[in-house]
Amino acid sequence: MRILIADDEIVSRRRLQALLTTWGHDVVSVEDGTAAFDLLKAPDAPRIVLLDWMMPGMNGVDVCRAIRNERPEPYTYMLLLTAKDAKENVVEGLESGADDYVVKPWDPEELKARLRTGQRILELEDHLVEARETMRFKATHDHLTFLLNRGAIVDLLERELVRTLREKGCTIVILGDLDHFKNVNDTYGHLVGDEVLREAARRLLGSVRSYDFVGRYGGEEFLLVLNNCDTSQAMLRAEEIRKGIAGLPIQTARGPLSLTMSMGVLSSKEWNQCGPAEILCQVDAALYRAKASGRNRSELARPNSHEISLVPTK
Amino acid sequence: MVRSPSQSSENLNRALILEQLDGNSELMIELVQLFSEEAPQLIEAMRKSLQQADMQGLARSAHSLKGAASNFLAHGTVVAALQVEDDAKRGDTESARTALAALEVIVERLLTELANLCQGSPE
Repeated sequence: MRILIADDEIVSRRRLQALLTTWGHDVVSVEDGTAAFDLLKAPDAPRIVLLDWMMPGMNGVDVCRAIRNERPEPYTYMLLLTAKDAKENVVEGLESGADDYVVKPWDPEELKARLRTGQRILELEDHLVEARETMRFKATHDHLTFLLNRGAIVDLLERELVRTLREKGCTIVILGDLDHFKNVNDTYGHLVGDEVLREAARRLLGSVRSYDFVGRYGGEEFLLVLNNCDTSQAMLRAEEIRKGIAGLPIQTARGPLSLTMSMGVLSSKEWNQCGPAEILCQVDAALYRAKASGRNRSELARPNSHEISLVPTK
Repeated sequence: MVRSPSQSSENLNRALILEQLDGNSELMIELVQLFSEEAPQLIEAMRKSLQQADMQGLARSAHSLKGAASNFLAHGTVVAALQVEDDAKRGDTESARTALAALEVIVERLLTELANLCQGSPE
């Protein structure tokens, strides 16, 4: 375990460093609190720190406070080492954010045990953070395709529409639907259908830029939110994406299947005052027109003059 | 109650000190060497602080010496250094002067005892 020690007094520092090294730790040692704080803020900082209380510059308690304020994650386990053993000192030390408090002269066996406690707590913390991140991913992603799920992509659409309006930019919204997908499920079974959805998702992701968003909107419907675009590019981009699906058969366990996608396309610049619900409604209508006029094509959602005069202000 | 440090010898316990160092006698020798260099510097710094009426500096150096000596379980020195630290924090120059004189004597004795301790090492 990498451990940082901070003590301005050389004998104590050397003793600590030597013993911790003997116990198999990788020790970094500094002579004052400010240096300790700088190191602890850095990426890949040691997760356990032993801080002398009284130090020039920032003292141990200052470091504890600053770390708790400025670096909540990853968690740093902090032990204060001090000769101050009055109750109010112990309380002040722990209130500053220290996890443990060791009174000098400390006993090696006791310190070793306290460090094991620290390691145990850090392991627990890591497991919890990992579990939280897994849950966060699952809560925002579709389990089959690993694309953003409907809730997440609609949230993003809402956020992007606000941002693009504020920045007077343009966001392109595309709603794509795999043509005759039901036939795949009915003919080859759901497992093959799942393969098709996963491959379609992979191609959609591959055909946009790293800062665009792709989500699974429904069964075989996908919503794409492309930032910083130009209205004139909308259909071009949509066509590229459409060809990415239609251009090459999808390999499945039951052989290659040729699939196509119909697209509703919308440029936010032409629908400036519209909220996400209206945008989704309009792009869905465009998708419906693409389906109605033969599928495997893109249709642009254009506000007509009548609609412009009726544009809701939300 | 304040012990009178000038009366006491540290009566260092080699076995206990080694226990504090996981039985590492080489480390003990190294720490004694470090302390032999550091302690006179700290005493010198304390004298200067006292001369310049820098009570904060005096308290800091006394605190460091106290911490250093505690690694050898040198209770007499720890108590004597604490006296200087407390006097300095209270701003009691006269008491601090007396306490520092006592501390100097006991540190001198501690250094000798530590040197003997190392020479008595089997290594």
